[in-house]
Amino acid sequence: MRKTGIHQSYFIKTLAISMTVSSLITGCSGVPEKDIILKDARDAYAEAKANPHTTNVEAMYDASQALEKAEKAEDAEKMTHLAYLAQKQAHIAVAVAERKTADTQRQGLVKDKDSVLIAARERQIVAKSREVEMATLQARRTRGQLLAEQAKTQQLQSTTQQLQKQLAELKGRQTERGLVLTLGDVLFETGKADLLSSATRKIESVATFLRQNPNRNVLVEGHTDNRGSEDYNLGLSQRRADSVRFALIRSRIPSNRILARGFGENSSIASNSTERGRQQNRRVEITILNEGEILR
Amino acid sequence: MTAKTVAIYSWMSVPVLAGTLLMSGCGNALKPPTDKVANAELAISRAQDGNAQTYAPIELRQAEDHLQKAKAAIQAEEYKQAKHFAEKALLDATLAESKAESETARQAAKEMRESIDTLRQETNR
Repeated sequence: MRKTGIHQSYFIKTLAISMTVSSLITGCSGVPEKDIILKDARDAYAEAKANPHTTNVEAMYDASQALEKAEKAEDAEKMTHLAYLAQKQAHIAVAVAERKTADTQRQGLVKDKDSVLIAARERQIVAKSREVEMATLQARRTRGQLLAEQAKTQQLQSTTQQLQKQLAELKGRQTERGLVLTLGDVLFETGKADLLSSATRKIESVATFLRQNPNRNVLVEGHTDNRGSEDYNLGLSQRRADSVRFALIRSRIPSNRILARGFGENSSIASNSTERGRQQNRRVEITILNEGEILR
Repeated sequence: MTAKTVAIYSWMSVPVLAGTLLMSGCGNALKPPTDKVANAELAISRAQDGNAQTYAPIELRQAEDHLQKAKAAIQAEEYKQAKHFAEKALLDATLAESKAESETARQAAKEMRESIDTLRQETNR
């Protein structure tokens, strides 16, 4: 029995040794210049590994597998071939990684582009609404101006109407120079220059007008008929004109707005042959000058 | 077992050795690697569709060369050579394709960047 056991163990040992020897030949490649053959493949893999973008890239797994295969090759020819493939795998992994990076960038940029477009659109909208705001303000302002102008016009119209009413009330005669009112002979004491109280109303209305229209000046011109001497008549007409002037001054009209003159018998308006005509000639004419007309 | 038996049985290790030798390295592939060649051709065609001619012309050329060599090797019944050439051609083509894709993506990103710059300029006026 013991003999059989020893023989068996010898058999097993021999088999074991031969298997080890054979595995030595097949597994651990005694490929000379292994480092030279594998250099490019190893470098390519190292480079790919060092590339920050290749992390999590599936192709890196293929690359590492291919390099391992090459490392384990049993002969130089196979190793050279596998080294070529391994190098390509490493390059492929890098290319794939770079494509992914570029794609991610592009996607990010698409978002950026959208943001820019949105921002631009918002700016447009803001600008547009500001435009509308300004236009509304402008319209409001214009309307305001319009209303103000309308009010002004209305005021002017009413002033004009008022003026016209006043002028109409004076019952004067419109001439080139202005409005002419006549104070007849009856308003003076006969042959004298004193104004009778009946003249007060007319003088007062002239004064009122002048007060309300400070830009109008007044001419007072005295006239007589042809009875009596020229000198006498000139004097009387002047004194009568002065009376009216005084009356106006007493009614608070500044003296520099009133000019009084006597024309004597030189400016008759009716025939001196009839009493009626002579009465007409005996008059004082008050001319309310047109706006802006200076006294002369 | 006798010593004689052991001696006889120890020779069994020889076929083990021999068989191992046979299986490693220099065995001939007995069939033409037509599948591998077909795959390589497909890969080359895909690479061409992906503008590899423009963006990875060298890699594409390498793939085509290796493919030609693979076909020639099949003709010459050098099947192991053919297999190796076909494998090389496949990876060359894959690399050409990947490179072309990478370049295309880079171009697209660049164009997008430029378009945004233009847009920014226009809308900031």
